[in-house]
Amino acid sequence: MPDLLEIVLKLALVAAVFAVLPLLVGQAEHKVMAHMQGRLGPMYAGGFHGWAQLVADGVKFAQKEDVVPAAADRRIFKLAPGVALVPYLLVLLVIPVGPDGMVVLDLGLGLFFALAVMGIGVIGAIMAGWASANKYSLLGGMRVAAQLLSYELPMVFAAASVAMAAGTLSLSGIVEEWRWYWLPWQAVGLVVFFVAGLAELRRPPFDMPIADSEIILGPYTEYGGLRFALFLLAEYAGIVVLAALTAVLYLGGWKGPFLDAELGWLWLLLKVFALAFIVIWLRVSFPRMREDQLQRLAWAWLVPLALAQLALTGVMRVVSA
Amino acid sequence: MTGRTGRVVPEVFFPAAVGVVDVIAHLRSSHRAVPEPPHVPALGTNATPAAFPPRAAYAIMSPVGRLPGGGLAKGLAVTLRTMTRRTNTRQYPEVQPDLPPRSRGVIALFEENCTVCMLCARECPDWCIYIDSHKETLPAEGGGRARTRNVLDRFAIDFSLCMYCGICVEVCPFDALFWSPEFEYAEYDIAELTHERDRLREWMWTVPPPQALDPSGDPPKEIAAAEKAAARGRRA
Repeated sequence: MPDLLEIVLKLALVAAVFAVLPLLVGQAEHKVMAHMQGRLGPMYAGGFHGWAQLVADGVKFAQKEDVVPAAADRRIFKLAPGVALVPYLLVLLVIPVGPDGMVVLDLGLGLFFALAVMGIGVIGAIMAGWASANKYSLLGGMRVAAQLLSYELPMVFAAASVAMAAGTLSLSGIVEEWRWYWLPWQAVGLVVFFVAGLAELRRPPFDMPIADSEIILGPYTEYGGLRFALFLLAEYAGIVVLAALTAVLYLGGWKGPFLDAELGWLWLLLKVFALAFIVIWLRVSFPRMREDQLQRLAWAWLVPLALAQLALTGVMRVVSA
Repeated sequence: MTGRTGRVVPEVFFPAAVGVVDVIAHLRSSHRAVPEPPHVPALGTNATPAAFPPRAAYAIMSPVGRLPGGGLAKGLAVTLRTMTRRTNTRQYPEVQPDLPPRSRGVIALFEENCTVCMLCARECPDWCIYIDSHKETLPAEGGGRARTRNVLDRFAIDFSLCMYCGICVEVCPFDALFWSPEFEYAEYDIAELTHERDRLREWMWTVPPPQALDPSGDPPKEIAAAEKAAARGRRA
């Protein structure tokens, strides 16, 4: 019985994290982006510096009419937001927040599971693009697909390098094995993984699929109300998941300067927020990349760099063994 | 207070019971007290405006810009630096904007000065000034003949038509129209935007004193005229 209680508790905790962290990141994006542009951002909702802006947005979205275009593939259209959102919830299950099994689901194949499931999140956007019966949506969906194809490869290569370095696919195992010298050793992999992850989340400057100045909002063009809110939530949940995975793989996860066992969750949280800040920072600083530039970056730079990192890791493993 | 021309001068300009010499002193002192304005080069000169950092700031960054990815680093630096600075947002309804004294907010009527010459109404490009008046004959004083004068019945400006060109203020020969920086007079009914005489007179209380003169500019003609008058007074 205590086991069951523990599982329920853990699941409730994950659900709470899944509900709160994306909102925090979203609010941080509002504020950080505003201040980076010399503005104040939301100041009214909730009274103190607009802290409840996203809550107010959620209430607004919930009140909106539920519209499905007449020509849309209704079932797929309605399913797409869920397909976009749920995978990120599943990835959170395997993220370790502390040593000795402080993880909901300690999978031996944790890394494999996380990468595979994150890829499914992108399918949601492709489904939305296909089912909307709208040329802009379709164009956006195709761009999403192209982006997924090009960026999944360097991402998996970079992650494979870490798995090779640690000698395990378990995320808890990878964090256990992590040492400070991994930072310079896996630095290239870190950059490749993070950039590829950004591209997979379609965050600016990789937001060609939703390029609002040319294809309105890409796959999300026909969405409104709660379904659109779910897509938005998926984007921010994606940021949280990407930041958490990057922290676990490359930055030592729950390892901190002291009290790893007690404060592991705090160190991980700090790393997640630092990475989320970088995600926002990149969005504010750089303009959108053109489709050909996107493909070029993936195939001409990230894939070779990831392969080089893989080779470096392999050589180091053999030499040190 | 009555000026030399017999017209009434608003109290805000010259406090009551000051002589011409005091006025000169007042004008002089206010004109000397003006702080040096920030150096703004004239258009067409090649000087860098003060808002941009001097060339030296770029000189430090240029080697970064030449490295591969240096442009990206520069972009990140710009946004990070902006984040640490104060924002430019003015929180208007909470904090009143500090408008320059010559802001064109609303036109105030100093009706005591109006002689119903109709110049403003005629010059108005939008024809948004409505003036009604009648003539009154004043009984003869002493041995003189009876005089007629214009009496203002209605003076209204339709601010839904007004384009804030300020020609009426410029053209008024008797200083009866003034710019006020007040701008919060939006209405739900367009008809309410026609401000009648009473409302226009009320705006007069919000007219700021005239801006101090540019320290490097010519001395105002009023001062020269007043000095001349004062000298004549001393001689007499």
